[in-house]
Amino acid sequence: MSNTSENPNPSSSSAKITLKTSDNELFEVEEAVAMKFCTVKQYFEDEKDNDVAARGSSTVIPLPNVHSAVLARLISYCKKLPQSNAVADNHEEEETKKKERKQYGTPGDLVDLISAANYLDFKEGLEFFNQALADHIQNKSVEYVRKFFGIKGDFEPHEEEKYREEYAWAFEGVDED
Amino acid sequence: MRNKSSSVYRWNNMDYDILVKIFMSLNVMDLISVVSQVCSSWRSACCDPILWKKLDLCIQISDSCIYAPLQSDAWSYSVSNNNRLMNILKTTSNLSQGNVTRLIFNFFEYVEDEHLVYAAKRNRNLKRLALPIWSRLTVRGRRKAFKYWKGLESLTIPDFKSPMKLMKATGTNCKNFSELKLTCNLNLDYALLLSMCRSLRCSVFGPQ
Repeated sequence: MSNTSENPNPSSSSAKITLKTSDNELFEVEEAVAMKFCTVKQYFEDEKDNDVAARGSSTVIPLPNVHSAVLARLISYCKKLPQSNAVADNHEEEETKKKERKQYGTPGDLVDLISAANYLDFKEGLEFFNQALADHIQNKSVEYVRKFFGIKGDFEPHEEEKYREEYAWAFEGVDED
Repeated sequence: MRNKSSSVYRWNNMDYDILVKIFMSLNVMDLISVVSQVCSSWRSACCDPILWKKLDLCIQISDSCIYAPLQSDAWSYSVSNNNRLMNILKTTSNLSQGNVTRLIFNFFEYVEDEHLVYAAKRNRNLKRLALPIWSRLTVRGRRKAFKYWKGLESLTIPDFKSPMKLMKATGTNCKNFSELKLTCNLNLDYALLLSMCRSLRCSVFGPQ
């Protein structure tokens, strides 16, 4: 049941860390990638302090809250991370980023990715997926958001009406979709 | 990854802290017109104090009006604009529940006495206020509003007549006041004022 992530440079001698997901899959990842997940980093460092890490890659770090399908996507995203963290400085770049975010755009995927990134304390990922989600809220209508995320409005009818009236002025110029 | 029904279930019960983190990347208009009305768990996350520390009313024009004119007052006065600002203030104060510490008004929208006084009554914990245009405010209106802002520390304002009077009003009401930012030239009145209030830090952004 081993699931070794691909290494573009097999001769590389970088250390590997093994992560074990909730469904008992094993992922062998490069240390540089694993260290992006602060939860893993913390665990790894604690192990080191306990003098157990001398065994190196034989340490298996359990991630009971993360499913293998989600971890695989997080790792692949992590590898694609741009080297510089520079903010998009022009419109075109922002558009490219938006398109990239759309690839992760289904609400079911996002809820898993965000929960996992949050558990792993993976900052860049959390920021990226949060923004991917925010793209589906910005300038949209309440109906669109409810439909997209599959959320049922749970306000009492009188509350719903009250909020509607209160915010009626705000529903000018939202996107059609 | 998962079947649809489980994701549906999870969006209604998403962790509060994660929701707040997501909402942090949205602007005030998205919060009031969408997020707060989706469902009760989104609404309660939408009221989190961290989202309302800074209330930036400039943001409402950023997308819809890219080619904003460069002079103040450019959006000529109309009843609908006036109501709009009032509506935004009312709606945001329902959600922010007095947690705003930094309030930035819009350079292109008239601020009248009723707006400022309403904002003051509902946001009494304000520490920083940016009021880039205030030609429609009366002295009485300003004085009334500042009475509510006892904790005010910093003020950004354009040119105004008789700065002494204003400083007297802020000085009596706001004990921690320490920073004045001006978007105009520093004239003799201000120079005199500054020489009298030595503890005041003052910056000028106006044309030289």
